[in-house]
Amino acid sequence: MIEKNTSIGRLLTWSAMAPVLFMAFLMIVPYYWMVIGAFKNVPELRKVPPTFVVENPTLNNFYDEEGNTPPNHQEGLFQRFKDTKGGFARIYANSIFISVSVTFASLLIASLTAFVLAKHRFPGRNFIFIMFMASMMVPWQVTLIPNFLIMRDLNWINSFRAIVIPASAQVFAVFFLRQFMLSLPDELLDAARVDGAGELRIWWSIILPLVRPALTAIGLIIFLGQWNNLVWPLIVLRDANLRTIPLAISLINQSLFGPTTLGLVMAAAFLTSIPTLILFIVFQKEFVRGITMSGMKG
Amino acid sequence: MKLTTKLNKVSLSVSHFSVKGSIIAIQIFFQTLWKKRISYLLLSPFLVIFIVFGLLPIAWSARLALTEYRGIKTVPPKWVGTQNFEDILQITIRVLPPEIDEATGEQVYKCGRKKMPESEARVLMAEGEECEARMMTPRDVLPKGYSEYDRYNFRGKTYLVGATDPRFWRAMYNTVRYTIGSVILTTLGGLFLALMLQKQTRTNMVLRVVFFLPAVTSGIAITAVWKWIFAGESYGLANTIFDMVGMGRQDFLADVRWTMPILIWLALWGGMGFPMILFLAGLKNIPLELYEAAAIDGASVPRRFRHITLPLLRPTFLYVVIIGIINAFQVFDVVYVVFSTTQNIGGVLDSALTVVTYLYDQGFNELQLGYASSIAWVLFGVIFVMTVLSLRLGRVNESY
Repeated sequence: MIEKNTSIGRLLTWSAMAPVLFMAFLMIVPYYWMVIGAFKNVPELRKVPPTFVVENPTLNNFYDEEGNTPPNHQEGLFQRFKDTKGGFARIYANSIFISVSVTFASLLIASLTAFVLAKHRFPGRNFIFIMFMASMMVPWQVTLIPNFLIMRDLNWINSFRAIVIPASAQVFAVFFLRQFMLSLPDELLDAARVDGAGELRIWWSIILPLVRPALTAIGLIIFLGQWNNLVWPLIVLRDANLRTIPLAISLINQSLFGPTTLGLVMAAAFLTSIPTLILFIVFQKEFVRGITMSGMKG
Repeated sequence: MKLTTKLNKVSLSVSHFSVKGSIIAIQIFFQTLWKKRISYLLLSPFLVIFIVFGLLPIAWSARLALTEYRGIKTVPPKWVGTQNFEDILQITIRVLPPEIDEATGEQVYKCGRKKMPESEARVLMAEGEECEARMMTPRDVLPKGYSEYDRYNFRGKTYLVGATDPRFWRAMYNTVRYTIGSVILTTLGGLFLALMLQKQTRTNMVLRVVFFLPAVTSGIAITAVWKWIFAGESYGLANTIFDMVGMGRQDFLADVRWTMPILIWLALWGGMGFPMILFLAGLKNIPLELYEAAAIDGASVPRRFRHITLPLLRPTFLYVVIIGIINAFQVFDVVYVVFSTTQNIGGVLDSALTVVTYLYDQGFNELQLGYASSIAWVLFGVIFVMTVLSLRLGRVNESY
């Protein structure tokens, strides 16, 4: 596999690259279809066969000043979801609020826990760690129904607390941060202790800066997980005002039909992918590391 | 602090007295707990959330699984023992005998709307009429509580598979098919890509990003885009391409024959990046000297691949496959976004029903919370067994 000096070898490599390039093309297709779909106007959306280059780019799928005036206009994405106060903008804000707060809360709590588990010695440490590991083997579906009942009994249904608080204890984050912290030298912490720093202080100003790459990687995964979280919000957020993007998208997807809905869905998908795409471009390496570590798949 | 030092001295002086020893040991134990209070204090936020929303629900779920509970506060869960698990899992195979005409003892045939014995039907069939051999109904054959899951013809006999919950078996069958298809294809696809893109050229780096892109953005949004690509009407992209190639319009989302291929296709599209990255890392760890030595010994490229690359990638394979199985068994989002309709969460004829979608359906549409918990435990059992099996299989002939 290393030396491909022969001309036959080179030919083989190139002919084998063809399927790779074709596969890469298939990877891009849905994104392209999404972007052009989002900017087509209603008559163009109805066209058969569909156009592959947008003829008259328009923002009507997002907001159409003409409102519902068939056949050439329909309400845009931001004019739908009338039962949500503030419409799609509110839905978007909900998703951002949930994802950001879960990310920060869970990073704070997980790093604190990982710090104690990695750097403190105390009775029960191994037991706690083994308990965490064992709980990772149980799929989340097992705890789904009791958690729903807990939320009901706490009166947290239709409240963001139902999502943010349980999600802020992420076992996998503790696991990987602990792994990372184990490699930090103990002398560093001892020196700080001699200087009179408290444990919280050590965690905040020594440990956290040192594990920042790991924090970024794990934070991205947690953010992404919440951004795409469907099942749990579906169960605990019944109030239209609290809808998140995944709920909104699956709602349009299941209740509306026909070619013009395509424009709405593509517009929503486009707006939803933008933050993740930006994060991916900025934090490519961290993303790869995070996903490899967590074993998470899309 | 004074008390602590005193107790320490006491414990030192009397530690050889076996009678008081145990009491003192307990005292020392609590002392250390107290000394380490800061550790426990810092752990407490995580521990409290973890216990309340992570551990307690596991125990609660185990109890719920043995009850019938409709989710009403005033009606407490009713203890039913293992009834839920029996209802989920019971399955039986029976021979479905032909319906016998009582007078003649021949099999009953149905020609048009009339029923008649076989000999009469043969006469009519010879005249060109269409007749159909009648079988007994599943209800006559299956035990009480069972209904038909599927039937097979084998060596001239009709076998009837009955289950107390045919929908569960439908879901399990779909999930297993999905898991096998998607895990094999994504693993091989990822390996292929890793092999092709292992040289760190600029083109390859760009291609790696392209293949990794879906792992980052393949959430609900892109899944929704796929639904519209596979729209059954002519404005769908898939149908446009099928038309161009001359394969004719397909009703992708309503035709049950397309359900599984589409689900696996989506898994493949979104799932190759993850194994690719892992295989790339695995390939990087293989020392080049091994290949060089093999090349000097005259080993061909395929032989080097077979005897160096594959064995050394074994741990990566194992990891990729296990994570793949765990994820595939829990598939929900894709089904919900692409195939679920407001009437049926499992799509047309339950063709896309998976174990987790069925669990959701039972729990939150039918409000059978006890039953749904039992399904979750069955799912856990299956995932657990599959993981252990993969680990076992992966360890076979560990020659490296």
